[in-house]
Amino acid sequence: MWRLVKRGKSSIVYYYLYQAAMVLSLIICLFTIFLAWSRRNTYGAKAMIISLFAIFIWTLGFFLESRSTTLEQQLFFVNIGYLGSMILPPAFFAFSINYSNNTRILWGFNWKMVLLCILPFALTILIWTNNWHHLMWSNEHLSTSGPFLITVKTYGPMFWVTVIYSYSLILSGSIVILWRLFVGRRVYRKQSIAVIIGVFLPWIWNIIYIFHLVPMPRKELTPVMFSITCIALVVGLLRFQLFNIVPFAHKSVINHLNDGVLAFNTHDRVVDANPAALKMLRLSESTIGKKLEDIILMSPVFKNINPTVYERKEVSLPEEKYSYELETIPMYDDTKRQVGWLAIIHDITDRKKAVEQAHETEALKKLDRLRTELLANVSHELRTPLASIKGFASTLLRTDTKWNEEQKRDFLKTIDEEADHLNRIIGDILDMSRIDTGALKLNPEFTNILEILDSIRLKLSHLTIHHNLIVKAPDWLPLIYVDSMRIGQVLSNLIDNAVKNSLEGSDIVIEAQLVGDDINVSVSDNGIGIYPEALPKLFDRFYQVDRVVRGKRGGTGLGLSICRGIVQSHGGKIWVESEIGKGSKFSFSLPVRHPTIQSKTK
Amino acid sequence: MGGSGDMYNPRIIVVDDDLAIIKFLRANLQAEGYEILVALDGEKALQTIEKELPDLVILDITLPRMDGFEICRRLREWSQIPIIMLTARGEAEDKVRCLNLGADDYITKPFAANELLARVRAVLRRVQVTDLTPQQPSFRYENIEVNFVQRQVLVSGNEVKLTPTEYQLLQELVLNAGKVLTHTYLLNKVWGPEYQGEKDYLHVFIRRLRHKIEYKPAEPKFIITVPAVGYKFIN
Repeated sequence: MWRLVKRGKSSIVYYYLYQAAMVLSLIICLFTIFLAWSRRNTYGAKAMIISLFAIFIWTLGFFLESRSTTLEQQLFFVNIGYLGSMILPPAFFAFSINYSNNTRILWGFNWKMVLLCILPFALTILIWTNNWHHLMWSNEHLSTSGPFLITVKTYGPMFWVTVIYSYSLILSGSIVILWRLFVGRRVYRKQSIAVIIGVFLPWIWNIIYIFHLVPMPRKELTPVMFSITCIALVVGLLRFQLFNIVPFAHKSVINHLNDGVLAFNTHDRVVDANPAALKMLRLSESTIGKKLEDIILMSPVFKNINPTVYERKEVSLPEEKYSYELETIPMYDDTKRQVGWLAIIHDITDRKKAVEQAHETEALKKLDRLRTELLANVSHELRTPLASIKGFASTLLRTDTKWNEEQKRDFLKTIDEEADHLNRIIGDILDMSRIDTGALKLNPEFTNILEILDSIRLKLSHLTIHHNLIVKAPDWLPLIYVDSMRIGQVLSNLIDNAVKNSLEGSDIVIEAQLVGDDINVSVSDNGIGIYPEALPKLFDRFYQVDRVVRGKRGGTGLGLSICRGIVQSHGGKIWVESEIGKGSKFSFSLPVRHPTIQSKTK
Repeated sequence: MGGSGDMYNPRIIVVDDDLAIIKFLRANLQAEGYEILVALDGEKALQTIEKELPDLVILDITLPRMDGFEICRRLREWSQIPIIMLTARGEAEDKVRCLNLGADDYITKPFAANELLARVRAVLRRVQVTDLTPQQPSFRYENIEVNFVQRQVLVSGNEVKLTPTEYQLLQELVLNAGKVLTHTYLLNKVWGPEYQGEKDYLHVFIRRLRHKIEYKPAEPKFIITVPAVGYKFIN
């Protein structure tokens, strides 16, 4: 099938070694393609597969050439091999770029890639049509070199174009990978070393081959060397997980972060921004290259920041209903010189909302507790008079005891009083709940406080008959816009308290006067007074200093609380001064003009 | 009628700040022949009880300044006087709290006159020496000694103060030592037929007794629980 020229012993060894190397290369190529294929979805893997495929074609062509005996056959297979050597440079270049994650330069099969492929494509056509123009080579004939029967050619100008183009692409790719070797992280370095060994072996061989540095048979071994590249890449793949943690991962992580990341240089110009940052700031890709001032104009998040120190602050954009946490982190190079700064924007809108909700829940819980407490108090207050009613009714119903008429009358009178008291409590509870829910209806009209005072004095005359009621007021007071009935209720409550808390025959002084823009009304007694510790709780619901006041039925525990509610809903204030043994003075103020009072009726 | 018909009428102190309730209690209790004392607040109540040593306290929980729970706790520091507590709150935890503090009984407002009188009678009955004095004058088991004549309980020779109800319960248990006594039996015998459903009373009083006579109340050696049935004193 083929014959060997000059079969010296060393020649035969060399011949078989060459053949074996070629076969081995082909097997390694296929194996590497298989490995790379299984990781084809990682960055750079596709370009790598194409490179490996090109090496395979190249090696296959040259292998078949070495086994051919005619010039036509040799030319044909070499041309096939050249097909591979034309594909390899752009594919390798693409791989190196992808591997080093400079995606903006080159990514997949875009127009930049197409541009790179135009020349190899044209050169391939020239190779296959060489017979018509001989731009690639001429004067081809068979010759023997060592153990091989080879085709000898005189290379034309286009061949050298091919060589220069291919080698410059491969050189560029190698430089890119080399660069990655020195700037990359440690893990990547091991990968890069594997890749570099793979890349430079063919180079070294080529230099040896072209410049005849080693006296060896003139036989193209470059594809064999590229198969060593394959071995290096296999090592890279298996040992250093070439495609699993390619440097691109960094970029990918940043691009997929939910936090916005922007990098600025020392001139406060944006040099990089991830999609999250652009989305949060509502900016476009063209933001990159803009200055900080311009960005502040478009998005106020960056207002008042100091990029020379680490800073973390919350930024709320009420008009957008978003809250962000902004971190500014200065970046330094190895010589501790600031080279720029990073801005990390964290969307804390949800967290803020959650906190707000937690506050609301807490408030609701507190309200619920208050309501439960109120309910317990209300039921206690209702049960107390009910206990007397039930008690006396059951007493009267006793069959084992005879009560005299006087006793019976007394019991019935108590039932009657307790029923009234129960009714009063229910009325007070209703008033209280109206105040609580804001459903207290006010029917305000322009009134003179003195008129209200007069009518209350008349109404309570039966109550104050044993006291000395003194009214101190100027002849004229400005009109106030109040609900006379409700203010009357406050007054009678205070007078009632004063009567209950002071001795018969003592003075009760009611005073009304203009103080600034308010009318102040006070009710003073010379009674027992209130303990200082009781004063702060006095206006609380169901707070009673003493249920029993000198043998009389006490209040409902709601009176003062209601007074406060009524006064406050008129825009006024209520307060108390007291001294044990000397008496108490309850005062309330009402604004002469209350602008926000609402009439809820009509 | 009256609770005793003995040489003196039992004296009852009513502690409440509601005058209508006081009037109601006074009228009914006086009609029964009891002598009535009144206190409107805790301090006065404690003073009066110390001075007058009445036979029974009727104590309201809601009082100004010092509440009924506190009065009950203070009273139990030195006195085994029977206490009936009144409350308008009617919550289950109040009841257990009262009994745990050493009260003998508990009534929720509103209540009828007869209801109250029945409880007063039942509590006072426990105080009085029963006619059925046991055959033997005393009971002894390990370090526990009960003298039925003097109604005295000694643990390792030291006297232990028991309220009348606690004493009645212990006496019932030791007289039947070794026998399982059902909840119903004990309630009927110690408290009276009107208390048959009140297992809470029994549980609380057993616990109180254990605290007074057992080494480790949580791991009783003497008063044994027979689950779902009742209790027995070990023999």
